[in-house]
Amino acid sequence: MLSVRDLTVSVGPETAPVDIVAGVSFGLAKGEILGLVGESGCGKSMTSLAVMGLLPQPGPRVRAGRVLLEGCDVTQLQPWQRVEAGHGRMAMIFQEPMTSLNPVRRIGDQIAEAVRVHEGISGAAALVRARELLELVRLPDPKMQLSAYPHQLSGGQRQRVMIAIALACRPQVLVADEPTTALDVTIQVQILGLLRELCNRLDMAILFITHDMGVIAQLADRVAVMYAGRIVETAAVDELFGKPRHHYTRGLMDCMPSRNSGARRLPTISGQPPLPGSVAAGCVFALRCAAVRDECRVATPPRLEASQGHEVLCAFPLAGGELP
Amino acid sequence: MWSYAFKRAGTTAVTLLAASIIIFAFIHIVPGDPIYVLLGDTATPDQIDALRHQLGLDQPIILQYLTWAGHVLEGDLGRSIFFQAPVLSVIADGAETSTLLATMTMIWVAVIGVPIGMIAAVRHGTWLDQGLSGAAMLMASIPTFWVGLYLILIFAAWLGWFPSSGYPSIFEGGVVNLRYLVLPSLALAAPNAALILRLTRASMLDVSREDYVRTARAKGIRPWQVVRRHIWRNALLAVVSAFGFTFAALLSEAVVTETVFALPGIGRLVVQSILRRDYPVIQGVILVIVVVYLLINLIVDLSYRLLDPRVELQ
Repeated sequence: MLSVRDLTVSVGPETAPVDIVAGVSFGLAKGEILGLVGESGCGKSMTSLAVMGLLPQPGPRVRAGRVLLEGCDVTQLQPWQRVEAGHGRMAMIFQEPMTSLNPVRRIGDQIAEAVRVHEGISGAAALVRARELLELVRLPDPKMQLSAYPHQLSGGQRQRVMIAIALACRPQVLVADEPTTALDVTIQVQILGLLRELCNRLDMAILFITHDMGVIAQLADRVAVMYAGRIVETAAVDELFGKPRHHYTRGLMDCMPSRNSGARRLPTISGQPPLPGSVAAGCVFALRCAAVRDECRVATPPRLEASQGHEVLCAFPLAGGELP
Repeated sequence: MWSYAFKRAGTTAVTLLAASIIIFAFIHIVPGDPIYVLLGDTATPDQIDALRHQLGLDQPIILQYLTWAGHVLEGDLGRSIFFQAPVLSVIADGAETSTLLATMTMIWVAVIGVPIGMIAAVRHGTWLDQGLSGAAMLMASIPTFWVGLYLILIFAAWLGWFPSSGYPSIFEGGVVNLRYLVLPSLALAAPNAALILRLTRASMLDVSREDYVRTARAKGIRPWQVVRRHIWRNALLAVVSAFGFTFAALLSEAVVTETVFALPGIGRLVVQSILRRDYPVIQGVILVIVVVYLLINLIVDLSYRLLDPRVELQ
């Protein structure tokens, strides 16, 4: 459905680019939810914006790599160019539902606008479709809400409206950039449930970006762990949580509070992620890795397949089972 | 809505009262006297006393204020000491010129400043943007009297397209007399259009970085539709209030341009009346200007309500 190959996003001058996303590859199958997880600044949002063609301009640019939507190359295409080229069935929802809707236009207008682009239907019919979409995202009283303004809705309701706008293109792929981070925990659960349901019902693939391992465990089918612009480990969700291979993934899991962890201090991964472009050679995690060896500092780590569908970017991965 | 109207009327009344007291007090603090202006150096003390009594200037200042305020409430702004005519008709003559001049100027400002500001914002960072922004900076920096003099030189003296000075009323000469206001309004528009241009550009750029603009782009609508449907209206909010205050300022503060083009406007009337110590005219004009500011303020607030549904009138 969606295939991203060696995506590299850079900032700075052409002659001396600094890669903030360095050769990221992943695939997304029909109806699958892939969780892209990592800490702030690891490049996960830049990855999602690059996939959508929404990188801020002027600013970071896609320097190398391919984004294929159903086999068609949509790299570097902005959404309107993708729609023109007939590859419009990819949509995105964002972290901040409070500011992601235009404050001076009615909800109905804002959904109908997306409907008109993708379905080529006129005003009244587009509003009918907008209402259907609001029903689909389970917004109470959809008919009334069509004529409401965003400030009259709560954060959770606005995120539902954002999802309705995204669904207007009947997406095969939905990119969700931390859509629940700004919401209360109870609302977060509802929105995650809604996304899972829509994914099953509409056979839609979701690329779900988050920094929250708990959300990943709850929602995703597969996980890609990102660190310093690279995907360091990919696996099915149970496999990853059961047998993490990368030292970073392991560290992230140790940081998660659990119900019976008691009152002791949570462990942390010491140090800071490296600044983009500051690691000249070797593994990007070497500075913070508990099991670092001399080779790690000089040699670029290989991408090993630990088991079927479980890849790890490490020369000396943790032993979770048989290794090649 | 009605409670808003009442509240608004209440604050307006208080503002007017305060303004009228301040105006009255300050004018009488200024040294000098209309008597000397009228009678000259050769007047005898008897003549001076007689005229002072006739004009009511021998009474205590509080009594003078109350008499004046009472007449104002009845719609009578008094008589001009210099013109020997009702203040209202003196102001009306100046207001015709000033209102038409300010309106014509704002039309230039709107048709030049706003669209060019939008173009500069959409082409932001290109040579076109830099050229337009640079030109705007230049226009905002040149004094209006200089622009005025060159407009007269080129379009009146050399080309003879427009008259160079004066303004006969359109009520006497018909609408063609508006041609007298073309050059002065252009001179006034130059710096104001430049400021509106820069404001429009900055406001558009601010809005284009908003999250909802990214949402609009994500929908797949074309870039110019993103501008038209999502950026433009939000960017206009900042521009509208600037429009209101520019207009109000043009009504009363176009003294230099009115002088260069010998226009009988409000700005010149105020300055000349101050020199003549023509108290009733000064008081009347300033009161009218205060009322105009309050009205424009109200219009700006109401237009906010139209542009932004989040604004509640309370």
